[in-house]
Amino acid sequence: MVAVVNQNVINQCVVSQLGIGFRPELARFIESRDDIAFVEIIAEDYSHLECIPQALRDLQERGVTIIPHCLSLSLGGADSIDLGRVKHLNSLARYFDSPFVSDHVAFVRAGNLESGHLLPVKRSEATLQIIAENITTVKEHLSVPLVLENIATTFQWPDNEMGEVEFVSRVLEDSDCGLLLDLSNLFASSHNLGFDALEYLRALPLQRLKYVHMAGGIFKDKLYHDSHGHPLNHQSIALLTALKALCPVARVMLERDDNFPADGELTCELGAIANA
Amino acid sequence: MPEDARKQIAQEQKLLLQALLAHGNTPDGFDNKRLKQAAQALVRKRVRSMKRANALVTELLDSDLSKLAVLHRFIELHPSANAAGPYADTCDFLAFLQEESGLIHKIANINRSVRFIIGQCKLSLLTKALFWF
Repeated sequence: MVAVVNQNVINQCVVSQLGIGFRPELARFIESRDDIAFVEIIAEDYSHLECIPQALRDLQERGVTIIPHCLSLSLGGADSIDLGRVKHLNSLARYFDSPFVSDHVAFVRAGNLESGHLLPVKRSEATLQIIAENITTVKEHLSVPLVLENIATTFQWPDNEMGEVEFVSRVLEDSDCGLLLDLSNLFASSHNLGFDALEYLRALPLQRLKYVHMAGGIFKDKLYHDSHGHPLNHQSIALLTALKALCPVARVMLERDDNFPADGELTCELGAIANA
Repeated sequence: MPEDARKQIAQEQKLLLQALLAHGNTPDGFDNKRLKQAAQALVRKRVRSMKRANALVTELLDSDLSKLAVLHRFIELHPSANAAGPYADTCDFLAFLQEESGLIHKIANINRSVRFIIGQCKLSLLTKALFWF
């Protein structure tokens, strides 16, 4: 009995909390798993609190932590922040009693154009200043901490003044925000832009790490696209193993948004994440 | 930060979005090929987001492949996604689809009317010809 207890303690120390992106298509699968400690919801999917499905309320009652994740604050955008989006994000955080909320180091709109997806910003001192100002505005309307995610990209701005990891680190330090490290995004960007993902990991302020994203993608025309609709690749798993050797990883989650596979495949991917 | 510096970056970001979404010129210094690939990826992403946001769109696209062409035409004419999110984007698309279907219906009705008039004319000419003979 003592041996069993000790093993449990060891497991608790080594194994991160396991999570998954909540999507209606995955609700039954998530409900059936008792090892899911947290789920992440896309804030834009629930424009009103009345839209929140019963399945999410049930998870909350079961003690599963719910983290609102935003795609549209456009923190790297030079246009002013839409406070309605921030207030909505905050209302979700309050509703679910979330420990924090997250968005990206990216921009999604400029002028009257909305990209519908996350785009890289120019890595310059001026952009750092804009992001710092935007985050200050956002934080004034949030009652929980803001956590920032690195994005996947297939191109970059000319005349960048610094590398990707220095830029992300400066954003985190300047804004005193936590890090949501997407290892699949890191693999995608390192492949597409040609930098060393392990060096990137070693240079990050990992003491700020709050949680980790893992997702599948696909190679197309020599570029890697983080589609969230394909199986998890072994390179992302290898990066998770490397990350765990560098620092404690409290939470890791799987994202799947499309081509939803059978439960068995999802189980395998969660197993691979837990055992990395 | 000085307002002018912010405006300068806003302008640069706008030019990039115009290149990615609305066939604008590639801004100086960017890799043209990579931007074209990114533009295609943004269209794929927008279609996926719309399918995910509204089951009706998925059903329509899966049951009738010609609707995918209409969706791509919609995106071509509306390069900016709806700022309110993918669901609002699907509502715009469904309204566009309805308008297009209405237009096709109207064109079909006009065609029928034209065919009827031509038919009537032919009948009248035939009657006249029979009378003279």
